[in-house]
Amino acid sequence: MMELSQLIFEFRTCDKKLIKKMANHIVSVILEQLVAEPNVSSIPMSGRREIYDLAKIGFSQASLCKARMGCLLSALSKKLKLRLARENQNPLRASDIKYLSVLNQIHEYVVKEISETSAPSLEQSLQWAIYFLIVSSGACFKELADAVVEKIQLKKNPIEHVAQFDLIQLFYTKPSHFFNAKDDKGRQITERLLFIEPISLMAINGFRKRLEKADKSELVEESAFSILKPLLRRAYTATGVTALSQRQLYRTAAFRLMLNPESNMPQWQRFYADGTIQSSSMTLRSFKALVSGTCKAPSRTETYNADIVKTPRKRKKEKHASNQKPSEHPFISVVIEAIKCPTTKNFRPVNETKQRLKSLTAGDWSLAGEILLEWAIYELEHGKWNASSTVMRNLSAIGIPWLLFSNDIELLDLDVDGASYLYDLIKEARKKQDANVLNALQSLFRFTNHRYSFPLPESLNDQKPNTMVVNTLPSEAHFRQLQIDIAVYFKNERDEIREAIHLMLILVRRLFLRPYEVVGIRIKDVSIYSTDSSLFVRRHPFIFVKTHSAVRRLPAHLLLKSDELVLLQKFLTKRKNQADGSKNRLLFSIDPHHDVRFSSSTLSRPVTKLLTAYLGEHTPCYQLRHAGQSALQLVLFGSDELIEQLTPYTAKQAEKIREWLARDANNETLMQLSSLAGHLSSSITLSTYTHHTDLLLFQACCNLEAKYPLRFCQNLSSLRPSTLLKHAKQKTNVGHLSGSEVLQVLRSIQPSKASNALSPKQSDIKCQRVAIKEHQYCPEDCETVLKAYDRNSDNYFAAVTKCGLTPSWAANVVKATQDIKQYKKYFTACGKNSRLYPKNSLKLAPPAPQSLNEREYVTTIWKKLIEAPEGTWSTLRKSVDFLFRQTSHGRSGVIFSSPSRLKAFLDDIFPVLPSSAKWCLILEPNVGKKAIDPAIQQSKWKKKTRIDVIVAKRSNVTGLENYPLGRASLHLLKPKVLQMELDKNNYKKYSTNALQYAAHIFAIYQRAYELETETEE
Amino acid sequence: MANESNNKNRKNSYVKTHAARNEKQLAGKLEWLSSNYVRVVSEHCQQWLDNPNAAVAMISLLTGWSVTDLLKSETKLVCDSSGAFHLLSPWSFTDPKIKSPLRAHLHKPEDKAAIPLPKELGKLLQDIKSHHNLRGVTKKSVGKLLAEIPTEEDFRITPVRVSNTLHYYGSSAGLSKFECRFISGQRMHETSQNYYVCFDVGTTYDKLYKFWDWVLAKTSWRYPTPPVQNFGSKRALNKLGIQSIFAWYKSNILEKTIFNDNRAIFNLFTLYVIELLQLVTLCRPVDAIFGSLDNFDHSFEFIFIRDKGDDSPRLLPLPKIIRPTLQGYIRYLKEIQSQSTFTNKYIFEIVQKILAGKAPFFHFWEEDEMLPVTVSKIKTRLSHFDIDRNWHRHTVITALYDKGLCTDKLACFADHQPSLDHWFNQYSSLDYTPIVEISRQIELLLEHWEVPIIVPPFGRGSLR
Repeated sequence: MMELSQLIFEFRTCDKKLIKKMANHIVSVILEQLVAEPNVSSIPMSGRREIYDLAKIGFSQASLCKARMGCLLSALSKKLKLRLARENQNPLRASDIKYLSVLNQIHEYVVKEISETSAPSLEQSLQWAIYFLIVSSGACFKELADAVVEKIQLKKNPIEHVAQFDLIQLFYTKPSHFFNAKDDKGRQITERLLFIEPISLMAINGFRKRLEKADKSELVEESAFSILKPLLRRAYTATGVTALSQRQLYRTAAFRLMLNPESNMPQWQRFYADGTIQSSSMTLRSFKALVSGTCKAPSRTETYNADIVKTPRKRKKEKHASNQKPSEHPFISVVIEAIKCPTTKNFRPVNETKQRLKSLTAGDWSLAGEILLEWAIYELEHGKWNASSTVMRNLSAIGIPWLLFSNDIELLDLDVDGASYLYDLIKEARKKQDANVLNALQSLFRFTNHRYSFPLPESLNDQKPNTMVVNTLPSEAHFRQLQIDIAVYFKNERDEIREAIHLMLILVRRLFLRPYEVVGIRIKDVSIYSTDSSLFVRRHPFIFVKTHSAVRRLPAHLLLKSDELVLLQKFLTKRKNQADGSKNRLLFSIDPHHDVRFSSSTLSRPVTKLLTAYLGEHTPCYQLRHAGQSALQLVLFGSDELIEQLTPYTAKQAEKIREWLARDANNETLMQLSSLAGHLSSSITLSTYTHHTDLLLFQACCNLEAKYPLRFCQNLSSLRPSTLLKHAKQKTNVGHLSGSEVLQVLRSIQPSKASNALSPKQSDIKCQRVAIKEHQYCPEDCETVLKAYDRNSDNYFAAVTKCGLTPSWAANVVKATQDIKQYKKYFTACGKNSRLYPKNSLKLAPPAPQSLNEREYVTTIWKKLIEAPEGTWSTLRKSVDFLFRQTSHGRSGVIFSSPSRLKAFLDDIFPVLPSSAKWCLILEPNVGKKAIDPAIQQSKWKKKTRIDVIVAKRSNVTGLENYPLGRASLHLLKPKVLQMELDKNNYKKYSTNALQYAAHIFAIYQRAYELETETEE
Repeated sequence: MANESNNKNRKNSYVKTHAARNEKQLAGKLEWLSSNYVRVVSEHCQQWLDNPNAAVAMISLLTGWSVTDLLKSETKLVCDSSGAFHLLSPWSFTDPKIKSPLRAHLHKPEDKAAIPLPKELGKLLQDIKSHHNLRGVTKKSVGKLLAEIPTEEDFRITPVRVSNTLHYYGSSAGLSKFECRFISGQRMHETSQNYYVCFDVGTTYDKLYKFWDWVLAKTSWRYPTPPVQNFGSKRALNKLGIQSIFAWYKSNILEKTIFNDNRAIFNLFTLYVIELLQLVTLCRPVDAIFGSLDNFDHSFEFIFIRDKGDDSPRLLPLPKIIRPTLQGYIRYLKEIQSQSTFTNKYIFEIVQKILAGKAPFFHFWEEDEMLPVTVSKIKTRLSHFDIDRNWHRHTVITALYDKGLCTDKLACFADHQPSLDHWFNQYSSLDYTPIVEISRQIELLLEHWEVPIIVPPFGRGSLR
């Protein structure tokens, strides 16, 4: 014990650098002396808490300074693995009140100093600006205050004017804060908007004015607190108060804001202001879009043609060998025997498993098998896997798909694309893509990268240790535009499906359902009554409920707009009729008579694309849920003005919602929002989902508007006394001005650049104006018309009009297609069948590529065709004509007789193809008696075109007239197909008709456009 | 193994959060019935009232009592003179052992209170509880009956959801959370606030009947006549009691001033300031009460109080009316200090410490030394007022409740924390406006009670 007291005595005076080490040493000595049990984990939590409390008493007697005491206690709690519930501790401290008095006196001094200084220097005005930014605008933590200082000193126009708001976009890094942005160098940082209240704005304005006149070299790059120090020192001297440390100043400034009853600032906002807790902010672009109420619609919308869902039946068909049981696989079953005793079925001890696996490596296995074994041994040796069951779990998760897919590939020649493809293949092979599968897969690929230097898949390369929080927020205008565009996106689908998608998006936006929850809602989960309508999220086979807290009831009658509620009710009634009284059926089903659930990714993928296009920043579909919660945050905490301007609700509706949620204590408002979002605690709601916290903090700061003497305003804002007096005469007789009044003067002198200032609810009108945009036809529209025509040739106009197309355009498209279809040039040599359609096909729509990846090719080709320069049109037309005439009927290959023709074709067509497109040439060599050697033929083709040539096994080509160098068939390969895996005998399955299809539809589009112009003329 | 232990640890760390969440009446929970189903249950039970299970469910719906509590043998049914039946409230308040004349100035609530039942239901419940053959009624059988009620969206109606109706819809009839707790027979110790309020039962019953009107829609059932009685804390003083206490201070300080007994004046004034501060802050009686001068801000606008453990700290506004007294107390201390500069070094030093915030703010001047105030010392000095030292809390909470202030804000002011949580946590939506409003109301109460505001120097003119 002597040693311990000696140690603590030394700890009191030891060097700062040694504090941590000493603290750890003291803690280990204490534990040695106090606890007989060497393993701390075996001590119950209550016992550990007791040890902690005892030690705390002991330390307090040693009269240590606060910092050292804190260091000791944190080391002790770490060693004891004590989870001290910081979140639930009462955050009030006795010192708070002491510092509050100090800050109040400092404030009095600063106001006095500003009023009395006749000619303030640049430093002084900077000090005042920083002071008010901290004390009045809520920049109450070091990193944020430093970022503001840097911005107002160095940037030309630091303050953004968005409508009636003045704000500064700030980037900072604070260890405890999550990241939501990247800087120019790709480093992760935190972005936040700091809204500036009038007094701070005056101060910044004053500083900027003086800065323009002064020499900028006077400015020194210092932290906010160091700049503020001279001002504080003057205040300490004048008032005689004790000095505040940096942390105390910031903490007390936030507390002072909250303590003022006029601010109506809830407790959580105080901690947001001082950086203790964080809330998701918003990007500047999102905020501008939100306030302006406009939406930048994308120039062109895509159409979705692939299957909207994989039905269970299709899944069954796709069932692959990769889903077979591990015990059925010859290699895996051997490995399982090494892990699990076959007789007792018990897992072997870790060491034994390791030995057995090592002995297995001596066997003759494929490279893929060897890699699996080495991976398991590596993970066991490095302590990442501690049990045989873990080996078993990981091998079961990905063992079989890895062996199957990697056996077909030359692993040693794997490039990044190959690795990514293999990774995706294995991932897709496991239908149940849970965390186990993904973790195991990532671990295996990292191991191969480490041991064999295989490249990492792209998706793994992108992953950074710290996850980023998305802070983009779609506005109501975006949501409306989304509804319009998503209908166009899915216009080839049935009306019912489009209606379902429309409603699903409404539920995600208004009731903040998760996308995977909304697709699983059943008929009986919705109840609509005149006064009380609810939507339930409950556990059942159709739905994946994330946590117990996600089981919830949502007030549909309050959160949905009246027209949306009517829409939901109509849809519900229709589904009830279709369901023949069964309430267990899905509310949104692809098939009206069977339960076929929508795929949530099918819903979220296009939504993500569209939202990203509107905002110009990555905006996942999940942000719709965020937008709903953020709107509700404003409803619960915001002023009527903000509600009217930035949410889809009116002040009256907001009042109703607030009343309804005030069932429990008013102090639980945030918790109520959290419960509706399906979260366990408010922390997750506030940190990730609510994006209006900055704005609410600004609102609270503005509530504290005090009146200041004219002299104060003059000195702070650096305005001419006459200007201010002129305004003051109009406004007040007592010679005092409030911040907002000075702000009006400032704005009258420097008119705001905010062109997008809107009156409340004007956003709606503006948004509607965007919705009625001029329609431009695109190749997708031709597809829509042709599909509608094929479904019902008599009355296809009705279906077409619903998609926003005119009947005249539809008629022109049909006419153009019929012309092309009947064009004799495009018939086979015998003249019976069209090269462009299947045999005896009655349809007008050409056969479309099936997969989504191929579809991307089609859209890219269209895009490039539209953008192609005028000079290339004639050559393009020739090549496309050649393509139609030389396409072999029923196949996707284009036939060529000479390499030079092929070269010319490739040169013409290359600019309109996606950059990743790959070709394959199948050569039927000339096997006639006078023909040259097939190998030479092959080399000639290859030399001219630089495409891999595959020689067909059988060939009937003879004679030197038509095909002297053999007949070559050119195939465009499907996306993501590797050359190495091509099966020479069955190459058809790797080729795509995307080029033919795109060219065909584009030809129809061009012809229809010509016809349309002719009609108009 | 490591993963498993991690999962276990994570699960354990969420236990408290889950428990705290379960305590709250959150809108997103499924544990309550929508207004449509309240009507459906009400109509169903009225229709099948000859089934004892339906009668029990109906009583649970109307009173918020859980079915288990209703069927307990300890739950007593009493019949009044008009033949109406009442459920006897499990709440009971002990009698304070006061012999002093102050006893006469305490509120005089009844020993027992009862929760009324519609006459028809009361009779049925009595039959169920008295007839042995009807004892087959259990929570399970009531649950079975309720589960039979068809619902459109397959929402299961359970006894718990039925009994929660009062808590979720009571506010629409004007019932405060405190009243809901009283009517639903909640265990008294579950919320500390239950011990402190003395209230008019009749007003509560009027609100309850309004709630019944909403639940029963059109009914011919007869409600018992609301009794005129008070129920609750027996430690709350009325206006006369408060006046008598403060009149004692006023007369004694005046008397000691005449005799120029400095020590006695100081001690009396200290006691008076403590009493006054307790009255406006509802601080619990603890040793070194109100801590040091650092717990006050420089203009005596706010006070920091920590009177019960780590979760009790709260920062409360002080009414303007008492600020001169506190400023006067500081002046008084300074005067004592200056007087004892050459006479008593010890007093000089201790006052210096007090003023520097390094010693407790309140001391008693005993002999030639000053000792920090403790509860036992206060009790000894005020032995003639043998009332509990937390009479302030009972009195003010009762008075503020009577004024209709929000019981939650009141609980926050008096540090009646919700279980497993506290009002000042980092994610609390508490703001200072209602706290300041409570302080303002207390100020009005002081004026109403005509509490004398004594400011030194203690001449005849200063004792207002």
